[in-house]
Amino acid sequence: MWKWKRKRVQEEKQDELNAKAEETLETLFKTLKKSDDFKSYQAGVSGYIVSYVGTLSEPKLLNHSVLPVLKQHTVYTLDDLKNLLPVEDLQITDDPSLVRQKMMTGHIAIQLKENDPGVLLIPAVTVEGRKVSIPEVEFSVVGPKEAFVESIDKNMNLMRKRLTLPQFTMKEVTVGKITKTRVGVVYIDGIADPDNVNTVLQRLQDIEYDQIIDSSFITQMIADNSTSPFPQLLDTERPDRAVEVIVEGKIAIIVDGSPHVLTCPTTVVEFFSSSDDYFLPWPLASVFRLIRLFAVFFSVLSTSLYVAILTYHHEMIPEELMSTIVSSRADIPFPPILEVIILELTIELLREAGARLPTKIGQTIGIVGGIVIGTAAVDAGLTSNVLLIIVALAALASFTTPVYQIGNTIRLIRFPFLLGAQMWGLIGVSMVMAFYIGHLIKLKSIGRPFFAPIYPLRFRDLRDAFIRLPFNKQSERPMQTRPVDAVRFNIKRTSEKRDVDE
Amino acid sequence: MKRKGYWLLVVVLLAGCQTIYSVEDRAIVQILGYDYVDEKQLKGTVGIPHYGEGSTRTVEELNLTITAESIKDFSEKVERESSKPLSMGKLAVTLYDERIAQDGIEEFLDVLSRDPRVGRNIYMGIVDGNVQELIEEKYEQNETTAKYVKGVIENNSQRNFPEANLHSFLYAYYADGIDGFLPYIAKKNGHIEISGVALFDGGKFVSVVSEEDALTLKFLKEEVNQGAANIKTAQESLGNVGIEVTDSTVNYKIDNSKEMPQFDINIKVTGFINEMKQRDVDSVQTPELVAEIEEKYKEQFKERAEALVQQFQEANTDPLGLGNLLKNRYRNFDKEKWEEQYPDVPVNINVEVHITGTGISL
Amino acid sequence: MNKLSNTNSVRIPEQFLITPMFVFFIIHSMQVGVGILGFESYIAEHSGFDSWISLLLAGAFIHLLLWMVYEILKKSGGDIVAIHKDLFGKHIGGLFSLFFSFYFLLLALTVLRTFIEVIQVWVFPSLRVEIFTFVFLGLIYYLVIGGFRLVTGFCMISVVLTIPLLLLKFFPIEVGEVNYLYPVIDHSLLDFLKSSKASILSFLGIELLLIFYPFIKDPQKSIKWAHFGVFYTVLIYLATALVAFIYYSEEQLEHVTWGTISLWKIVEFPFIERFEYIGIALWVYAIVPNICLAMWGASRIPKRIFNANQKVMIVIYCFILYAAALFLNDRQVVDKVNTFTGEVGFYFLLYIPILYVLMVLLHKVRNQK
Repeated sequence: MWKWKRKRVQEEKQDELNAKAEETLETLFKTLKKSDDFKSYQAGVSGYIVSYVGTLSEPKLLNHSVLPVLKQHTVYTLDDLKNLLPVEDLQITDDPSLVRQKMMTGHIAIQLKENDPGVLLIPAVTVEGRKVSIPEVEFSVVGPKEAFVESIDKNMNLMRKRLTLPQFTMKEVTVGKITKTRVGVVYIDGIADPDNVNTVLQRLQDIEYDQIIDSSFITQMIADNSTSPFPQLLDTERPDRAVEVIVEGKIAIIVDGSPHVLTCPTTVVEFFSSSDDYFLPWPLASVFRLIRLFAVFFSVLSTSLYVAILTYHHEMIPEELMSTIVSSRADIPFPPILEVIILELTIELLREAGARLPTKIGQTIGIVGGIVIGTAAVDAGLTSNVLLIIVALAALASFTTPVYQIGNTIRLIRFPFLLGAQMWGLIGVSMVMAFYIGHLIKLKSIGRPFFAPIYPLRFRDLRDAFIRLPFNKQSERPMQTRPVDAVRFNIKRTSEKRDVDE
Repeated sequence: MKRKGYWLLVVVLLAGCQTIYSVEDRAIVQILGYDYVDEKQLKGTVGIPHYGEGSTRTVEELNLTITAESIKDFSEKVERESSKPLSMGKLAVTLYDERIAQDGIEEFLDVLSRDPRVGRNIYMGIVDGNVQELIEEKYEQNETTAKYVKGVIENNSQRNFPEANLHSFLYAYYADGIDGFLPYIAKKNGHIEISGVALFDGGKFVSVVSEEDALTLKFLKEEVNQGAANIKTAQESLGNVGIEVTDSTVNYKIDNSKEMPQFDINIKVTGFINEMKQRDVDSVQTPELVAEIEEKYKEQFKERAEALVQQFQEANTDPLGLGNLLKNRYRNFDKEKWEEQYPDVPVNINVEVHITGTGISL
Repeated sequence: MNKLSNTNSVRIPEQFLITPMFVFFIIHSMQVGVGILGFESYIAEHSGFDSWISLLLAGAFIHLLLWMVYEILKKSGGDIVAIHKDLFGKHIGGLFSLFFSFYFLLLALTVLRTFIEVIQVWVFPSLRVEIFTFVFLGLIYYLVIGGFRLVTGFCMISVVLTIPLLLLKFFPIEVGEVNYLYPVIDHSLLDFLKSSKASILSFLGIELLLIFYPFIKDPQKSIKWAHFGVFYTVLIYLATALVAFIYYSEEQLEHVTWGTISLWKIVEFPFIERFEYIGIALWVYAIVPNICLAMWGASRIPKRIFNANQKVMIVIYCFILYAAALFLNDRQVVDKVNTFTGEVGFYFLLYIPILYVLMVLLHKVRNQK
């Protein structure tokens, strides 16, 4: 595999070299002229050539600041022109590849005459994008209501305004052979472990792919084990959450064109913590977190336990429950496993349909599907009432996960459990669980253990794992990130003991 | 990856070969009873609940009765008559008629304790009368006989009857110096009642403790949290006084210094009066009255307990586990010697009664 | 002496090391296997209800052996292979180390086969052993190739997951009879020693320390954790035995093969009863790390002696286990294997003091030189 990677790197370098050797301004303009939205014309008293991509550059700037100057003055060098133009960040270059890069991001190029090697580049970038809106995937009742958008600059802005610190650093990498997507690695210098930063940068640079459309591409490409169903980088659309973990010493990866920011290194418990947990008083937050965790286990295990117990271990059903279960099962023609699979697939269908349809129709489909199909299936004697309740609860429970990605994982991993249950009852379920535990221990998130703080056991990090202790008990940043500066605040100063009535 | 997929498929297919019966496809035996036919044959009756389909949720009990030569033979024959495979996993009650119990239930115990599917908390009972009739009768109180018998035993073992189930019987059956006992059940006027406690010597049914003395046995055997005692007073005006027992402790002491071990059983009973014939008692009189009732109760209790122990010794059964106690507290327990001694071992019973209240209306 | 430890010590890269605390979990999970599900009747065979005293005796003996193991390892700084090489030379020492490898394999086999036996008796009388063993060993393989750190992690999880099973002991205590547990010493010393020997077999597993010692960060700091581990095991065995003695009568216990599993039967909750099925299913988490550790230890030795590929060794050993598990297919044979393993294990334990004496002598001789 390494061999293969190396080979790819070599090939790519050769491609680049070829391009450089061949590319001149002439060929560049020739290529561009094939597209109809490319504008190039002579303007002004001296007949300069003004060229730009019409759909990328802002006409306002051209009309108000550039053209008037060109028409009023006669200049002989680009330097003179540069001094005259009331626009910031002008650049003169004769490097064709730079010209190409800049023009493709909305710069206006001015040449003294056609095929002149010197080019003045005027930034006139206009990027159409969405306004900052409220988070939809990770909605919270209290707390900030801003969500990331598809622009890397706006996203940086959203974070920077929350973190006014000079050490807040962003390293930019361009990824994707064709899309040339800007990817930013964001961290706080002096808190984040340089090793982690290097790992991330290294992995980003090693990516070999033609297009990066969304941050989820990056997640899959730089994951330590890309065949695992568990996501090894956490994605969030909340700037507050991103900033929160950056302060903990984690690293965020912003991808241009994606409203989701990736954070790493992450742990499995982090996927079950929501930003609400920090907005509520800690006892409530802890209880809700535990409920969520229980919900996850319920969602994964309930149907397989149903299969195991009904198929093999009916001795476990108490007498009082027996009549309920047996009479609802009595006229079902299928064995429990088939019954479960039918119902699980139905729920999965509803989910998929609901996710693909517009919100309003999606809701209707959910209700219609849930109620009508469910009742009809029970009436028709295809599934039992008890199972319908269990499956519906399991589906509901799987929606309690605050991070969408892990919800998908939960949807998937219950099927091996069903298989185990059908084969060897509870022992089968246990064995599948053992497999997943082993798998989780094996997993790593950018080289840091994914199953922490459970294993390796880190008592410090357990304070914000299954439960969330109050802020004054969290005087140190999590060990998971190996922060350079681990101390959040001086615990001694805050924990002075006071006697009664003092 | 592809190869892994094949392996998985093969494994699933192979595992799928065994026929699986899920819960509704099994005949779940809940009650099982045996009658004596003659020396060679016995008659077994099983009760299998049949749950109604859909929303009706009624339960009917199906009964199968088969005469067979041995237990093994019986289960085979029952299987032949049943449309679904029999499952003993939820067996709740087993019953034996008096004659079988007198001959010994060792063989049945062996079957029950050997099968890993059978629970340890199942109830056993000796039936005064015909087991088959008892099981087949339709009762009004509960939908199934199994549930009914189980409920009766469960409810009573919390109050006036000593606790007895398969485990406690096995415990006594195997141990040296303890003998087991089981509830003694009878069918009366379309109802089931516990009419006493059946005492065993080893695996053989030897004697019955009457219903009135069951509570006394319970006091001697275990701590009682709930129970109702009845005292006959000499005073005509008081009549019978009912006491609700709230707490009792029992403590055994052994004096092994002499040739014959001597047992002291100390019992403390706490309770309150909940029934008295006389209505208009002066509040001044109350303490005296209470003391009098306490005294009376003590007397009667002691008398009964002594008679009970006498009964045990005569029947050569040791439900109190005196021998086991001796064995566990002193070295060099000689089983044979103890068995010889047992009928004549002196047992002193000391009772303390404490009445804490007289109810809220006096 | 310094020179000696330098030449012998085995350097393990830092990222594979475990913190001393995890020695607790490893020792404990190696000691607790299937034995605990039915050891009560074995130890009570000779000294009845007094055998809890022999449990304590056996525990004390194990603590002593553990101390010796640490002394041996402190002196050498390496693992059993290095020690053997040092004491007996390359060839004989290698042979001795191989015996250890086979011994661990035997331990794994015993645990695996007995657990399958438990499943056959209690859950699936018609279990397809060949398929089940295959899948189970697949799981073991997957975990063991994850390396020692993964196995250690699994040990920890297993200890945590099996703690709830201890709480179930309250059910038998409630219905049991404490009256008969009066401590009368009614048995001869010989009886006690006999049942001590029977109980020592439940505590097998500390020998593994001879192999994974180089994997501990700050190994000498782990002594207290190792002792805690043994202590915790003794405590659990003691509690289990006492609860069984409370619940069963002395003579009844002789008729009970799987005391602890039978105890689980009486656990009832409103939504679930007959806890033995859950108990056995949860016991998978106690069995898996046990077999994994033994497997890891067994495959690590050839790697150290012949520089063999450990992955290949694991595969080979898995197949040996598979074949052996299929071959031993009835209750009597499984019983015999258990007794045999017990005997072998006992002698391996007795080998530790010998090793200790040899080690001390060797050091004296070298120091004089």
